[in-house]
Amino acid sequence: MVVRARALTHPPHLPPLFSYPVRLALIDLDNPPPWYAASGQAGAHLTAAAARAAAGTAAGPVWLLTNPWAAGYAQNPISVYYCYADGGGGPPHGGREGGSVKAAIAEVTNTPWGATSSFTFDPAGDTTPKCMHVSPFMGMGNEWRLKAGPPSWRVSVRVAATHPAHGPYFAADLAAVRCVGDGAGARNERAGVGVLLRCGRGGRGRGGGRAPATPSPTPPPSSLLHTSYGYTPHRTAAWIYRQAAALLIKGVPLHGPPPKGSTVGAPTRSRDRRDPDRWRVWRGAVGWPWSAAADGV
Amino acid sequence: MRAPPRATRGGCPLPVPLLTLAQVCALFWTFASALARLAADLPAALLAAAALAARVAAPEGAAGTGGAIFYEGVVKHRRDKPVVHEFRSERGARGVRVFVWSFERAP
Repeated sequence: MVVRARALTHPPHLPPLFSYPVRLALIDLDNPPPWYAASGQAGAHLTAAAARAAAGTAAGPVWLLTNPWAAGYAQNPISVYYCYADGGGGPPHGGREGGSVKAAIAEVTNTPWGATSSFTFDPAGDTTPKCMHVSPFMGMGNEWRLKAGPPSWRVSVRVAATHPAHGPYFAADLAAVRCVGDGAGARNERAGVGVLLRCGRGGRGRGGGRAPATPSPTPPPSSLLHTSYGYTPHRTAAWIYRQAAALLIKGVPLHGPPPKGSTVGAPTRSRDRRDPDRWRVWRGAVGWPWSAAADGV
Repeated sequence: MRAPPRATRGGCPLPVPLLTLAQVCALFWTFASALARLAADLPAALLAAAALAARVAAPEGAAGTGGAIFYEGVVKHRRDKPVVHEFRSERGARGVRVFVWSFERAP
């Protein structure tokens, strides 16, 4: 088969745009809520001290933007640690001025393997060689451009992939606004199973919602909180695998993980020869059946 | 070649075993007792489910939320520059496929 590639301005057909609603928690790692440790999620992330050591901040606050676990299940394609400068505060909260973010740490988890790669980056905008085989639909010959605005009323994270020959071609964006009201600090499953069963309203949980421009003046009712965002990790997994099926149907080829010993991607573990000065930490696949082949992922 | 002998009763083949009256009674008793046990356990199961729902629904007060701020929004995956792979099969047929997230098959 002869294959060659060219860029198109108006392609004949494209895989569908992929979007889904999320409700994420920004957690103060120095004073986390009780559910963070009780759910077991604390053991899956860096501690505040470890994040400070990686970012080079001595005593500044560290806040983690992540998807809270639900029913013991996690689906976090990317979590971001915001490491604030020493002597300042964290994000603006309760009339308190916010501090300045000195560094950020991205914690990228690949699907379906569940391996994690963490590395520091400049939240104002930074470029690094792709250091992990995140999706079986994308190869390793890319460069990541990351940007994470300091959390305030809004939070935004952008990861763009650039190919050395074809240029920028893919971007994943998170845009969210802070929840307000009585239920603002509650987890997504606060409403309970009974509300989910008797409530037929689906809210914005269909995957095509838009982020509101300003914080909602009234808190969402418990039923909406649950039906729109309850069990977000499970919903996210369902959307990801549904998108994967759509891509397979479209004919997008699969790309396996780089071979063990490769100079790019996961096997480089904590040392990437293309970017040797950047702090990196690698954690292999944790769940069956991928854990058995973690070294090869 | 002769066919292997089949189990017969009075010359008639019996492909499925017949259930005796005792077996039918035993099955009925099994299902009936299971239903009775389920009915007996139902109130306790409902109470347990209600307790679980109440625990999940319990408001996480100020002490539990002081270290977390929640944001709601949308994650979007966007294509900046789609790429078309033109291919020719071994039989000579030509085609075009759009591979947006894949470059590695390109030369």
